[in-house]
Amino acid sequence: MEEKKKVGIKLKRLSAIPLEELKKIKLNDLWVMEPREKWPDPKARLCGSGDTCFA
Amino acid sequence: MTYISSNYNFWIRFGESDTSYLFNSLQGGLLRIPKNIKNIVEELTNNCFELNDIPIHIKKIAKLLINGGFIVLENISELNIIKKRFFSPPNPKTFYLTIIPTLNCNLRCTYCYQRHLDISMSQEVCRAIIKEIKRRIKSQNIKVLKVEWYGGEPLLKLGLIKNLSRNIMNLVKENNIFYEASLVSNGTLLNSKTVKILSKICIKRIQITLDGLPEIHNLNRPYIDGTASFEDVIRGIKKASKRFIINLRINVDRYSIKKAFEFLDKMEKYGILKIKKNIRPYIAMIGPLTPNCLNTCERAIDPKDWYFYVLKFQQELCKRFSDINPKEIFEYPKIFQKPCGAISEWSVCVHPSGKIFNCGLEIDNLQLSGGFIWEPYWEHPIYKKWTKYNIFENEQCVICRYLPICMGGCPKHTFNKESFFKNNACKHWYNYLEPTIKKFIKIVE
Repeated sequence: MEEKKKVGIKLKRLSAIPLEELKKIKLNDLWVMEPREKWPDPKARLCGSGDTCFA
Repeated sequence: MTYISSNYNFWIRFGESDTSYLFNSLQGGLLRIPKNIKNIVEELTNNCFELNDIPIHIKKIAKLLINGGFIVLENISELNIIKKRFFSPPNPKTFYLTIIPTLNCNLRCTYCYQRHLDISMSQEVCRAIIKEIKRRIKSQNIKVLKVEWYGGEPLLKLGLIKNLSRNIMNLVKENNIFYEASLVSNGTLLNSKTVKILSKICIKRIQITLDGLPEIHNLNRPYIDGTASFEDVIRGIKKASKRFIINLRINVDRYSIKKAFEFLDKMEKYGILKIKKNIRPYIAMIGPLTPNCLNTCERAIDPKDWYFYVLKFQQELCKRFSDINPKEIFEYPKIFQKPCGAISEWSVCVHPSGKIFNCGLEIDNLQLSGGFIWEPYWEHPIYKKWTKYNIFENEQCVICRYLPICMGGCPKHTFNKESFFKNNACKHWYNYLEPTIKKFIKIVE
């Protein structure tokens, strides 16, 4: 896997983004699919092996 | 505490579009990244940082990314998270028991991997199953029992299913264990009477196979005497869908795949469109799953093209089932604890003879069994070959970003180096993750 860049974040550049811009965004509405713990499971198949199984 | 980018992030971009998306294969989250925060998210996921060092209004975005696992603590090993999932018992502790009351079947499908010997389960084996559940309750402290009735055609032995279910239900009640059952059936024997019985024995879902249009289905799945079964299956689906969720399996090959799409258009004609809320159609591949069905090689769709059809089918399905939440019918990449229940110590398959199998596809070959249910089968070398299977011994898997959604693919095909499906697991997500997520976004957004 790609090695992580070990450089500090460019704080100046981030601070330059206007606060007003960010306030418009409801962050929790950005989820298209939430992480695994919150998934619905209505269509669980009898064979649990999923997409890579042809059984 | 220093945060760094997850190794399992995938950026999904739509050309010049203002909005990008970020998917994390370890936690499964998919985040919409609008243009005005794209730079921030890129900065946060491309660098390492201390949470206290970033401006307060950026911190909210950082926390969102942390919640989705897109950013992780530097000293956390993400691979260890996958290992922990793989080696942990199911949560809650669940015993997955597949019971095969008979290998006999009233159909003779042209692609079937079973020879349908007339073998049915004896009372002795039924008693051994109850004993085994008791042993599991004691030794594994199970909290949930999930039984899958499989065959052959299990409904040929409805009396046995009913009696054994009652004994199981008494046992789980005494031990305060949650119980749920499912059934794999060809659908021909589902009528008002059977549906009534099945609803009393905790059946929640039934997998029924209907190979699309009648002209295809009747060729693929005739009765023993060669007569057509389509109408009977449709009748069975109508009856069963009143009480159960139906996973409607449409087996396809390179000749019938297009007809599967046509079938979706004709569901109304066959009278099953109105009940679609309980029906989940999906396509499955006809192919040489075992040496018994090598005759299907020529007609099988090339595994590397398979997911193209799956995606197309799901897209068509979402169009036609627009009143159902697409998140419920679209195959969004799932995160697995293990690639398959067959390698789990929490799952077994009981043959009518009492022989134990790990994989349901091997039940036609007694040589592949891991001992009898009344023996300490967990010490049998074949059983151990499966349950000791360790995906982390594969160097390619360990460094793979797709590992949490693939887990190495089907172990049976991994064991069999000559398998028609060999290596397909790797190509699968490498080729299809981005198109899958893109289609999912287009459908749900």
